[in-house]
Amino acid sequence: MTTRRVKFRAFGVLTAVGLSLTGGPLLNTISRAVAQVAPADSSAPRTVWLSLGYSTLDTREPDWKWLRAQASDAKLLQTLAPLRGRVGGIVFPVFDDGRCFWETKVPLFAGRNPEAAADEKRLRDLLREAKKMGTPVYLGLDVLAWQKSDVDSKDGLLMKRVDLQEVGYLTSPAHHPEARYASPFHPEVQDAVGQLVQELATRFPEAAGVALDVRLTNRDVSGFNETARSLFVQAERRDVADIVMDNTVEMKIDDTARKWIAWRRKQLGGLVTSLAQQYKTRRGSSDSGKVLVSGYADYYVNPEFSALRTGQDWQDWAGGVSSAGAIDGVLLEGRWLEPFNDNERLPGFQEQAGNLTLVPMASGANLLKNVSYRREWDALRSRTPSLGQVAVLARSDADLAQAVALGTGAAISVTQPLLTIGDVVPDVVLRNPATGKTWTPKAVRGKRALSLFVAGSGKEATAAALVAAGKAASGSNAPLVAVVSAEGITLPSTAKGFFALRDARRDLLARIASVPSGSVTQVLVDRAGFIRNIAPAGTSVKSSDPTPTLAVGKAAPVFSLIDTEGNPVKLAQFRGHKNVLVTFFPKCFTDG
Amino acid sequence: MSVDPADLQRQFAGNVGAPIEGDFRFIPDTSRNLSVLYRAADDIGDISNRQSILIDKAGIVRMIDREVSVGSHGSDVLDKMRQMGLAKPVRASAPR
Repeated sequence: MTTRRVKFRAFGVLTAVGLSLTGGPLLNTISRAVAQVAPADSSAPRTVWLSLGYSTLDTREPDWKWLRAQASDAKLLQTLAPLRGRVGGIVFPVFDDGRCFWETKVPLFAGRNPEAAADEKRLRDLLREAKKMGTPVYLGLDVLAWQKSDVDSKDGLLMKRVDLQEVGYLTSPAHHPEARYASPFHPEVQDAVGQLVQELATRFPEAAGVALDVRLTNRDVSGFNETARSLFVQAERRDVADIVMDNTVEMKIDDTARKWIAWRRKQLGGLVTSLAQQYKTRRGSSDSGKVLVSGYADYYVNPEFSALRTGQDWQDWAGGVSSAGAIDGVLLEGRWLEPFNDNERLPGFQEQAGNLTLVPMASGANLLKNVSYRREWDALRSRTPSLGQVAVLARSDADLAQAVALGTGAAISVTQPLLTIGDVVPDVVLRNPATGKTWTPKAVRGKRALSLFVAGSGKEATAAALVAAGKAASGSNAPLVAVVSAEGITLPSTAKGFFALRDARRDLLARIASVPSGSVTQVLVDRAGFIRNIAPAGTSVKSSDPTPTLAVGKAAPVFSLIDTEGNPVKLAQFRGHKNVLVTFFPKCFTDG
Repeated sequence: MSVDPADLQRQFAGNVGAPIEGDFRFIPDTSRNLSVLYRAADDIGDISNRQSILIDKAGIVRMIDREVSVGSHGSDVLDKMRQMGLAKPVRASAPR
């Protein structure tokens, strides 16, 4: 099969689009259903850490608005009050996007935050209150992310100082996409961030310490800064230019590549050690404070990462120096909880590794966006008593509420939108009352469409659902038919061709508009898991597979999904405006 | 802050010259919804094949580009996108 060259000229120029990224769209739809996302947890309470999100990854809050609100009048501490002293620590970002939450004198960063004076005051107030309460607050630094990716501006810090940029293999220094990161191998960068931590040590003795978020370099993205290359050539007498590090092809890990990776890892570890030591030395021996770093659980999962970093990167350099007392703890973050919860993939996790405290961290925001994430969150919740403490990455009031619930065991509710045509059927876990087995829509993904008859409460609804399902049930290529209810229906012996499912937690029921007594709704789902019809099951029911065809010249199958930022992406939104390229990159930083 | 699949997808976009996040949307496809819909995978256990589908402004499929080998497809598509300057791809990738 040959690749067909695409003549893009025929479709005109694909222009830039300024999509407005509205905050929290899922929570603001007109139709709502309140779902109980997590039931009350009898095994609480537990120690909870909070890590407030860096703005570089959150384009909805570019101006530290939410952070400022949290610091003002120590609002954050009030919100966390129900945790009553069971707060392991709070990481408050103070260096982000190359800006400081205080009036820094470090030349590279001075003057970049117009509200620096006010921010410093807010920070001091927060630290003072926290100290009174005995709540440790760590000052967070996104050490190398000096310019947000959506700053397409020659005024960006790294655009002005191109020589300090981390450079990817495929891009030149002039390409701003890599301008997000300063090179950790550049002496001037090392010096500047060293000055930052020393300032923090002197200015904010009430802080419990600092938390360093240092991006571990990806194989092809980072490290190709010219200064870094020449340092490597000097050290190893070979040139990194010989390494093929194109992310779109299989990586060839030859000897030079291994040396490059090892050298980079050692340099990065050296930087972190140096920053930790500078901070503690400057604080002084009576109260040198603590240094935390962030590590990423995902690294354990991805075999490509593992090949590069043996999945132990942060342990190699953080664990290695912990015996020297430089690093005190690691917040082990994973936006995807699955890798963390899957014990097979995370062997040997322990809360204490030498002097290191390891705290698993979940991204609070994700739970609200994806109900199927709940299983993982529940798994984390049930594991945390044995773990003792857990951290939540919080970027919103809802995330804070979730963190409080995690620590107090309270139930939490979140408003979820009702399902409509084009949405993905949620990965709910239902149970077949006849067999006792669990079932999820994923079970038939790609194989069968689904025809779910969702029954409200009451005998009439049950009876109607059975009738409707009986009409719909047919051959092996037709949709799989099931009746869904909260109570679980015992099927009569006359029932043929369909089965019952119990939605005890109302995961699905709560997302279907008005399932009042006596009514039955048919939810028709295609083989890809997209809902193609939701309607009352009246006198006629739909029986055919609604999966759209895919063919050149035909209408593209519509979909409604959520991107990695939590914003909706609907094919329909581009209609009449943009051409759309749907691209699948299966090996993009994944293991499959 | 975190170097997780989402952030790395953004780095990846950066790699290929995608200028502003608004132009590139990355969609995690753990449940293989988009992959199955666009026939890049057959079922939940599959790894999505590398492929690209171009849809015009009227919502009609204009190109389905499938690649048997993983060799150069990615770079071909990326080359095209770079030539165009600004593209509007909707990418799906499956962390599992």
